[in-house]
Amino acid sequence: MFAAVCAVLASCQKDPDTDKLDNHYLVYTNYDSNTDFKSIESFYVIDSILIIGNSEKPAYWNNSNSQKIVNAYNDKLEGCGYIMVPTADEADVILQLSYINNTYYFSSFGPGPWWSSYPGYWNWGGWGWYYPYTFNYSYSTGSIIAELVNTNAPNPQNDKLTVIWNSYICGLLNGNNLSLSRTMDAINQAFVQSPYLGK
Amino acid sequence: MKTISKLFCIALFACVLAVPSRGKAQISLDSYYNIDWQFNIPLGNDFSNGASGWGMNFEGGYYVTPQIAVGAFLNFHTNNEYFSRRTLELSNTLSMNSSQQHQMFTLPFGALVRYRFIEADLQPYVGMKLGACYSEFNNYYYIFMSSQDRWGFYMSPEVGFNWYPWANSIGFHFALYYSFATNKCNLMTYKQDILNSIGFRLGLAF
Repeated sequence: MFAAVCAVLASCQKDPDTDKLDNHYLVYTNYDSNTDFKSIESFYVIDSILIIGNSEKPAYWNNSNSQKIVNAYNDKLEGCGYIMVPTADEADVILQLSYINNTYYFSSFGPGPWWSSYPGYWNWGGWGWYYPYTFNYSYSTGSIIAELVNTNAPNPQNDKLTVIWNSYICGLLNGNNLSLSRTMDAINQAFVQSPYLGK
Repeated sequence: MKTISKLFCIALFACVLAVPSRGKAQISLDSYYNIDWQFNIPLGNDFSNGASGWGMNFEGGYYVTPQIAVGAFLNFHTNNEYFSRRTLELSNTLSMNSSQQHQMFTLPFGALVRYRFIEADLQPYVGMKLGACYSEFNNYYYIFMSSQDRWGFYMSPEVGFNWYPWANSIGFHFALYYSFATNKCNLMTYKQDILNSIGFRLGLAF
């Protein structure tokens, strides 16, 4: 009886005013603490954004809007003092971008190889890649994942490339459409809160 | 808030119906009951420092002597605080940037002792509540929420009065209180070892 009363009263919590929340975007960043980011010289940003949907076949987003997002990352990495090179083969690090259009393949965003749920995820010539750090994020549609992969340091034990930095930005949808200005703000914030990136 | 208001109205209506049938100013000269609206001000709380009136108190006691009553109590309260956009260092390498809404809900209950100075229409008193405290700490950010619930020991001294201005009717209750609970919070980057607060209660006396 008493437990029931407590349960009823516990349901009388005053919910906070979530309208007051600045819902514009949420930014997570994480990095490999063993990486010397000052030693990186060159980078390459893949010019198409992988769309993670409910189809097993990977699709890529490549239009003027996606190009603006790619350019924003290019500008930010150049701002860090890294040199943009024309091909992935020449780069010390590669930035791969993915857009979550549907969470069908996401049971959670970490810890663990959540990306293995999606058959079409980035796979560098069969090398694959791994995260040297753990994380546990919440996830939602309308999110962009950016992963900085170190091409010079394959793990000798499993021959996988190392993700040395990643950002996860969500809250980018305005209705059903991606808000570019919000996306730019979130990309900027990802670099603001990653001061270790740079020469 | 609507839920609390509805609960309060139901309790008030039930009491108004019940009291005249007893034919006394109090339900019993040997006992008392209070139902209160509660205003709570957290002190030095990093998780939620927002004062609010989102709470209620229920208590009753039996006078084992003309001055001293022992009884039981239960109250609940919600304190919310908005945190503007900022970056939280969730680990040595993991950062998160967002605005947040913090919600702290407390539900203490237990035993009480009350000493009333005079047995009259106006009955000033001092009292002490001791018991357990259930608490929930919720952090809302973007569309997500992180949550933690904890139990602790609760202690709350108070001063106040019951006032019965009319014969054969209900009276009023007012109290000032301080509360201390050992509930700990360790949610994201927010840590709280104890819960301190002051406040007042305004309600009905039977």
